[in-house]
Amino acid sequence: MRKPKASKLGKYRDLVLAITIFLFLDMGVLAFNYYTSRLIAADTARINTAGELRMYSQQLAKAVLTLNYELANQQPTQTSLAQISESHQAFSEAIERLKSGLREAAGEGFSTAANSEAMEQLEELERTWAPLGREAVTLLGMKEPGVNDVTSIANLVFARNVRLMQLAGDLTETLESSALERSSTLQTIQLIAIGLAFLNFIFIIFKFVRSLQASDRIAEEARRETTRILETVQEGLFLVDREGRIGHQHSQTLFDMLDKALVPGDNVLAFLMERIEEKHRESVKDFFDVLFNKKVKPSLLKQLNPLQEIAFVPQDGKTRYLNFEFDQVKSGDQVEQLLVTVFDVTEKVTLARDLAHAEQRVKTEVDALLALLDHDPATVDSFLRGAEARLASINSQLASVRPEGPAYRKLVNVVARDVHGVKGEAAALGLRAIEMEIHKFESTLAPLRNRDDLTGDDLIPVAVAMNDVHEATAKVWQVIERVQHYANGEKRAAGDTDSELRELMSQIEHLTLRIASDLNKKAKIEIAAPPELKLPGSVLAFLRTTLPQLVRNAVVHGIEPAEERQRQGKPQEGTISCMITCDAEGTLLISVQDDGYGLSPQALRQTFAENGTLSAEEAASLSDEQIVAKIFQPGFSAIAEPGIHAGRGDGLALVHDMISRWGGTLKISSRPNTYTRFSLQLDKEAWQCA
Amino acid sequence: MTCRELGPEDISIFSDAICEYFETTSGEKAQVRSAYLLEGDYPENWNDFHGIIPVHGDFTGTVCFSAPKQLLTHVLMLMGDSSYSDAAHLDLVGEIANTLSGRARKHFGEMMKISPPVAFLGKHEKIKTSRAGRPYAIPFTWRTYEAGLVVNLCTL
Repeated sequence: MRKPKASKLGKYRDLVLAITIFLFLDMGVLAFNYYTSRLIAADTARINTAGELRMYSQQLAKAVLTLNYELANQQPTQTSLAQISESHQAFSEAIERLKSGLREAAGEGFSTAANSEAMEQLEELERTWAPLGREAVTLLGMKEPGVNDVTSIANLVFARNVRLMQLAGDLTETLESSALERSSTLQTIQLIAIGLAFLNFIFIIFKFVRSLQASDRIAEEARRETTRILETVQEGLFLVDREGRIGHQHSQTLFDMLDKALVPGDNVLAFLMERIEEKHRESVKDFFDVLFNKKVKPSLLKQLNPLQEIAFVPQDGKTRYLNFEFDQVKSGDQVEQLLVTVFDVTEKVTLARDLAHAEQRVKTEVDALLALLDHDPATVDSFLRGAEARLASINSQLASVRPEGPAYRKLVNVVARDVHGVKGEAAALGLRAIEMEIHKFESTLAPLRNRDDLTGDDLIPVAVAMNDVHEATAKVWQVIERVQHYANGEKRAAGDTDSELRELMSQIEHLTLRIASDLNKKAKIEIAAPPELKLPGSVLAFLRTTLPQLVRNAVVHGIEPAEERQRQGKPQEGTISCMITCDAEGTLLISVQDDGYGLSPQALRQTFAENGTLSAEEAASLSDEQIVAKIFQPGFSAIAEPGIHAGRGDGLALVHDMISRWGGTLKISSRPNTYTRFSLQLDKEAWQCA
Repeated sequence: MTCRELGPEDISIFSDAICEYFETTSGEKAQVRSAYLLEGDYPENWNDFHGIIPVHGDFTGTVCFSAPKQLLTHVLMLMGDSSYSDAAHLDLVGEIANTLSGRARKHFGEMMKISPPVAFLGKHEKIKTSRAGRPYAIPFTWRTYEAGLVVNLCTL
């Protein structure tokens, strides 16, 4: 489906539209004002002109009467004639202007009743004026008008002047009325336009405020979400600008990870320079130089990054190992900022080191073992004792050294000579671990030799290095002890059944915990056997065969997963009790009990039917005792798919077979969701004579 | 958990703290005479008054400062104290142990959890050695006296 094309204005579209309308309305009001003022000016001009008609008519009348008088008294007439001419011309022009003005007004759409009436009045005024005008023209056309010539116009003036003035007055009133009417209309239009503009303005304000509020809400929500992310994220997140300054937004863990004294605005490079090892500083500086290079690709940045598993020493002094990852934040094609992610990989690095350490230790022990096997034990023993004696001698000299430079120097040289001898012997015997430690010891001594300004402080590294050599020899002793222990094992099997029983118990305990761990269950085992109980080797062999099967069965089938136990109100950790006792009659009692599901014949029927061990009919036809007895038959298991710990149906069958061979008895007791107990009994004759 | 071994720089933290303590309080620095591994229950010349700081965390064990009564009396005198009772001497070794504790806290940070120092009189407390390594004994001289420091720490 085609997506609607997003407007360039986006969320501001409505706002811009409203403002545009507002501006148009304002412009319209302004234009209308201009137009209105023009109309009012025209109306005023017409009203004035109509008013002037009264004046011109009066002037003409006065000039005619003056002329008449002047002719009668034979006085000069130029002035009167001139006034007649001016009045006539002004009157005629005023009429023309009025006609033109009224026509324009009609043409502009203001053909109101008042306008028509004014037109009619003007026409009548013109008709009334016309004879007078013609007489005036005739009079003005005469070279020397006489009294008789003036009489006719004077009569017309008398007859029409009042009428003309009345008509002009009416016309003025009509024009005023028309102007008022038009002005009122224009005012109404103006008010409407201003009202609309105002409404539009209100709309804009409303819309703008709502839009701002919505934006604020979104921004606030975004800010809250960002804060939540930054508070929750385990990594250190922050931005760095081109000047290397740390931005204000950062994850909460950042400063815990780096340094609590660090604040936004601090220079990250300068900070790192103080906290990382000197050997890394140059490469880190170089790396920062390329970080803002727009041409460097992210994959290359990763390759170049020296801040990986870097040892970082914050002010609290506890070294951490950190990974820094950098992502360029671009604006256009320029790298504006860097998004830096800091991971605390201390645990990972430490575990790797532990592992390497453990591997090294194992290797050392294997090397030592191989070296020992290659040599006569007496030779190795002699070397170790000799080495320890020399170390003891060195230690004794360290303890009693006089606090003087020459004495220290002499001692260091003696120590160097002595340990070098030990090193040679260790190398000859292939005891590489000791050889390497002594080599390090010699490296510690080397800068001290031939110095006269030695002090007691200088002997501290010597003591530490000597301790390391001690530990190396101690490890070789441990290997020897183990070999001897192993070699003596057979002797012990022949006679020391107590320790064998303890070892068996220990093995059973480990087995229980391992199976529980493999099955993601929680279980503990309580093992009890009276210390005075002496068991012959054959009974121990019996226990070695049967107990693992019973314990394995208890963990796999008896103990519920922790969550289920919790639902049932039981402790999350299941308990298996293993007891070996002897009663007053000498009967050996062995029991393994768990506090889990308990045995349910009905559940067994269902399981056997479901996993195909029995048909549904067979399962249904067996009694509870018979169905429970099936668990001791080979191939009967309550688990569909065999796993490493159970599922083949051999474990309890083996137990059953063993107890049968020994002539003992096997009992099961159980209560649903409470316990299951397997009890084995061997009569006194059976186990003591075995 | 870190597995780093106790290095010379870690041990020097304690010896430096002792030397500087004497310099600050008496104007005369104590000198480390030597450093060796402790073989028995006590160092040679083990003294009467002891300030001990029990430590656990990534390092576990104790750091113990021991000084003879005469040395402590001399320091008390220089400090202007007029009481030279056993209690005053114990206070002084306790204070020295406190100094050790402060330095250790600063140097080891969270790696080392330090219990409050304990001061005691007499030799009844043996230095318990562990299988992981032998304790370091560091004898000091101050004026004509000799004191001792035993750093008995091991990594887990």
